[in-house]
Amino acid sequence: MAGGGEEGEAAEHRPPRWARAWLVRWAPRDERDVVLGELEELFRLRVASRGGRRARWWYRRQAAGFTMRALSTRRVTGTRRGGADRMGWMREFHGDVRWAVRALAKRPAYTLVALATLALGIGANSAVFTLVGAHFLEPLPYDRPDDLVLLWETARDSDGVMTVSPGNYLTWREEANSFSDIASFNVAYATLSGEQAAERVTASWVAPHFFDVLGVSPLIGPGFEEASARAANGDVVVLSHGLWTRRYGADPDLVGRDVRVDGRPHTVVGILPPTYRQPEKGLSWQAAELWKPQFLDDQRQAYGSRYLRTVARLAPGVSIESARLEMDRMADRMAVEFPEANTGRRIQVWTLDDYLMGESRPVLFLLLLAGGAVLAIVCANVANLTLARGQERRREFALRTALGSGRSRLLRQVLVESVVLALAGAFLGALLVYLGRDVLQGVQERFFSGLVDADVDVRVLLGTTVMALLSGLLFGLPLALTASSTDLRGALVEGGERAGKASSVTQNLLIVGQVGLATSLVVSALLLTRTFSAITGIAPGFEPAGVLTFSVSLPRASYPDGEAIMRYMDDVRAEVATVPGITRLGLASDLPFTTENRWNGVRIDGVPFDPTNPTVSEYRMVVGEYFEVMGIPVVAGAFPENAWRATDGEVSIAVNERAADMFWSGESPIGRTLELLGSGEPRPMRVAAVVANVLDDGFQGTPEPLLYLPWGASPQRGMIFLASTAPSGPEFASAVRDALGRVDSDVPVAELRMLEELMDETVVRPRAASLIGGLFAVIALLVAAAGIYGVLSYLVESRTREIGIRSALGATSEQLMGLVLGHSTRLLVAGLLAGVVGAVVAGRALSSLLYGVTPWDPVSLVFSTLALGVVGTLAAWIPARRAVGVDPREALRAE
Amino acid sequence: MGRAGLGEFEHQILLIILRLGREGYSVSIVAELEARTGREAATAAVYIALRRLEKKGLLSSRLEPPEQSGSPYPRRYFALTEAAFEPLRQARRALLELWDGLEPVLDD
Repeated sequence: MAGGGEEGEAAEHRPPRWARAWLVRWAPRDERDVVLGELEELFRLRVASRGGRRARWWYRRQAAGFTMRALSTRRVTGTRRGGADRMGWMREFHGDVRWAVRALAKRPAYTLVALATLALGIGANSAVFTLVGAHFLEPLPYDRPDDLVLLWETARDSDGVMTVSPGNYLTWREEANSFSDIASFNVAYATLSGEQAAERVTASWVAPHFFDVLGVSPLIGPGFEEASARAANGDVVVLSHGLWTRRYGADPDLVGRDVRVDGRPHTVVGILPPTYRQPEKGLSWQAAELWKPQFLDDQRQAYGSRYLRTVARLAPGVSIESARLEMDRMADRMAVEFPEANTGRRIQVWTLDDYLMGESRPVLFLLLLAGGAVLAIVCANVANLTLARGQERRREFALRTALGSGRSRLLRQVLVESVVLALAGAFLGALLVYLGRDVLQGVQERFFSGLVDADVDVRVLLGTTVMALLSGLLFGLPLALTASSTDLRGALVEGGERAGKASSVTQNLLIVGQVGLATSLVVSALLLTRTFSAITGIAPGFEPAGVLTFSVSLPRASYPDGEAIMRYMDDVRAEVATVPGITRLGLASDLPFTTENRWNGVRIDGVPFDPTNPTVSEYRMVVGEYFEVMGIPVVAGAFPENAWRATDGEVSIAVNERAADMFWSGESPIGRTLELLGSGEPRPMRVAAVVANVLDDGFQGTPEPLLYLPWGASPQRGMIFLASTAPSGPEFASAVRDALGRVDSDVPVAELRMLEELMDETVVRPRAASLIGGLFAVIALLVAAAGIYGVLSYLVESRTREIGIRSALGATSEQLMGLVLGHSTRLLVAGLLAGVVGAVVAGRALSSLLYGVTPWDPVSLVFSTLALGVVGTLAAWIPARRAVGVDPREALRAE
Repeated sequence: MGRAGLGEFEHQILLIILRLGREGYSVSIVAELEARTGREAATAAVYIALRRLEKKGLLSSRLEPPEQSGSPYPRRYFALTEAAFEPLRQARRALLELWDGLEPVLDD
């Protein structure tokens, strides 16, 4: 026990809390205090004589006893007014439940199969509830999260969001009225050193008022205060709860002390609460662990470089629509005031919820749909089993009717039985989900969002219980209806042998329904899987395998001009060349498959220029071996050896095929010139090479016109290196870090990861959709197969006599097989047809998740139908074999 | 078992209260019952039997408020009424008659 010895002992000497609460509820109301007091007294006596543990068990038993007696004797003692009828009903119900449990125990095979199926179906849905609940019910971990928005810039002619320039952010903060405040934040890495081993953590450089905007206060410490943070020259940090616990043993005195961050002492000014998550989409950024204030004073005029994220809180009474309107006007104004950086750009205002969680919604919807379908199949399956068993019980029902059981009484008995079964199944299912909660949390983080936790909580249990009750009623209903309308005489006279016509029709329909639903699910799963492979099968135009990327940001103070930047670049290239396993090193201003993009107007020689609607192109600064590292083929021309470092004069550039087509309409662009507008004096550029297109905005993007500019033409302080590694792997990380540390230990290496990981993050949702679809399809297939098998087995069993007679009269085994299989084949075909129709409907509902396949994709339809046909026939074949093996003498004697 | 008759458990409880000096509350009754029978008694059963005997008029009860009982809760004391003695006598007589002449069967 966590509380230590004394407290633990005290707890041992108190009655168990739950049992006591139970008693408060169930002890006779007018005597509650007496009962509680006397039980406590007896409890203490028992603690003294037998020890706390046994006393607590005794107390629980007593509480249970009071509850049971309250339920069964209220009517006798009449302690609650008006409760007599209710209690009478309760007593009957109690009897029904006991009867149900006995009836289920008598048929262990049926009960086990039904329980397992129900546990699977209901458990799967509990898991779905858990995930869906986290998304729709769990608030984001900020104060009044509904008032929080993220502000982004957009690229020209694109809806994709882009990070924000410091100049724009500062202008918005000063001028926009829709927000009570706006705060910038940024992603980064920091290295912690000191007494323990150095550790790299995910970090964020934030405006000092960042946490105020989110409404998050530190658990310990004051947090950032602008004045004191400035006084400390920005060398203060806030740490996450996780980092504080992991690295500093949750030392409460850490606040106020110094830790070494990136080699310099920083004062810890706050520890965040454990629930805090950074408002980011990517899991790695959500798990930021260290925050440092960032002052953008010297960036006031920086409109061109966009690297900030911004979060804002809507001012009281301001709607998101009016905020959007204001930011639209703001964008127009900024385009006039700072046209170079802002022409054609818009500002996007996203609610935090939509931006962070919106993409998960279609997949969650899919989850609900698939879960519902599986549950329906499970219900149909158990209903069938129950019906089949009901045939055997027709005599029992008839007898009970003869003995005076009313129709409603029988109906209730059957329903109670199925609800008891469903609840037991639900209990098992919920238990499975509870045991697998870590897996579920992993799924939540991997595929949906790490911002909210997937908790198996009261809501989930409640949902599961409701689901169990409903499914119990659902699968019990067919039997309940046929049982309660049992023809007394018929059942007794026929000896209950022949299946009732009504129920066999129901059974057939249930089989058709199961096969249909399973077919639809399998088709949908295949569509999603094909979508995923269609997306990831798109050639991006480069070879990401084995490419390691990392970025640095050079401080202006030590790298004041282009020459210094180029020198740093050369030094890094020289140092990294010594790392074994790294064969080539390229450099770029931004990476494909990220939201970072640079666009600007271009003036093409020989093409009339329209200043109101300028031709625009994306551009990227690169160096040397970029194309080789990325495996982008050069399709025409070639570069002069050292053109990349030319810092003055005419600049040699490369263009992609798309730009060549768009700007020179198919003529060879080699040797042609153009000017890139935007920052500074336009310099003439001459096309030296044409390279193949790449997909810059992800697998589903389209190639945009792209100019590759030599690094030397405009040296950037933000650099992203790309290294070809021999055996791909993150083990290069520390070697690379050391190499860059030797060049300049003050420049931290950030975002060290494989290019493939980065690309993977862009297809997380399609992958989730295909995995989920696949999982549910497999469950559906198995359950449906079990259903077909179960019902046909029963059918063969109940027709044993008929089969025996036929066999005695000379029917061949082929004819007998045909008899049984013919029946199942008709059902199977009807089910498959229904399933195909259902699949097309489901496919249309899924269309927002589909890519590269149509909802009526013939491959998926044919394959699924075949798969179900084969599985279904197999499931029917086993009982059919048994039918053939029936010995006519045995069959007739069985009567 | 009719309303007027005495159940076995009721019989036992009446005897226990008699042993406790004609009055007792459930704690003392349960403790004595367990000591005498050597089995755990369900408090709820005892409690319900007490209330039923009270209804039959064989027991009377009084509530002792916490100030007097010395515990933070009130206690309910049950005492045998005069009416309790006749059924006890009857029960005893019935038992003895049933046992009459059978003792040797159990001896050995």
